[in-house]
Amino acid sequence: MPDYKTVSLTLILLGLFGASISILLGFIWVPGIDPTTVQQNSAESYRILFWHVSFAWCSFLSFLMLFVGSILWYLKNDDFGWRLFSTGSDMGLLFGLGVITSGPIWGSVAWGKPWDWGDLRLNSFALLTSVALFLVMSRKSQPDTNQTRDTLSIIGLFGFFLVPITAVATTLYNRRHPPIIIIEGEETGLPDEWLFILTFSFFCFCLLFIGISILNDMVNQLESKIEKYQRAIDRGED
Amino acid sequence: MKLTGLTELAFAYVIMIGIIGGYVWNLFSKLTDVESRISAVEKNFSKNKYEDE
Repeated sequence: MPDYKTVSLTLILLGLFGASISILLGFIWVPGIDPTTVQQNSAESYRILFWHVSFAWCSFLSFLMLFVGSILWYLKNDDFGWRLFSTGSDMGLLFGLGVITSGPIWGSVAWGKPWDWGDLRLNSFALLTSVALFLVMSRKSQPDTNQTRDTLSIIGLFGFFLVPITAVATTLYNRRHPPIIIIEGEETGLPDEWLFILTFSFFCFCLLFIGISILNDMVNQLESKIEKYQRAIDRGED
Repeated sequence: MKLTGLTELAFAYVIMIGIIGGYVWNLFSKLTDVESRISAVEKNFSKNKYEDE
C-alpha cells in the first residue's frame, strides 16, 4: 500500500514549485499588453490570469467531485460517494476563496472598483463559494448521520447547477468580467506564450489539487475513525 | 499610499499563496494531531484487552 502522506506531500510540493515557476515566467517571459488599451496602471495586473484562472478551473473540478459524490451518496448511500462529497466541498471552498479574493484585487485596478453586484459571473461564483462554505460548516457542526448526509448531498447537487451558469455567464450576461478568451475567435484568443504559461500553470494546479485532495481525504477518514472510537468509548466498549 | 497595478498584483499573489500554504499547513498539523490521538486510543484499547485476558 503506498504511503499516501508522502505521495500527497510530493504532489503538493511539485505543484507549488511548478505554479511558482509559472508566476516567474509570467513576469519575465510573457510579453505585456499595450498600456494604452487598458485603464491607467492596470497593464501589468493582467498577469494575475495565470493563477486566478487556474484557481477557478480547479474550483470547477472540485464542484464536479462534489456533484459525483452527492449523486453516489444520494442514490446508493455509497461511502466512497460521501468521501468525494467531503473532499469536493473542502476543495471547492479552498479554490473558490482563492478566486474571490484575488479577483476583486485585480478588479480594483482594472475596473476601478473591486466588485460589481450586477455582473452575473462574479455573483454566481460568489454564490457557488458560499454553497461550499455552507456545506463545510454544516458537515463540521452537524452530527454525522444518514439524514444529514442526504440533506447536504441535495444542497451539493444544487450547488453544481451553478457551475454551468457561472461558466457561460460571461457569454450570456457580461458587464465587467472579461469574456472567455482561451478559445480562438475574432475578438478573443491569447498569444502563444500566454496560452503556454496558462496551460502549464493549470497542469501544476492539477498536481496541487490531487495532492491536497488526498491529504484532505486522509484527514476526513481519520476524523471519522476517531469519532467511531469516541462513540465506542462513550458506550463503554473496548 | 498610491498603489500601482504591480503592487496589487503582488498582493493578490501573496494572498493566493497564503491561502494554499495556510490550508496545507493546517491539514498537516490536523493529520499529525488526529494520528497521535488515534494511536493513543488504540494503545488504550489494546491495554484494556490485555488486562481483561
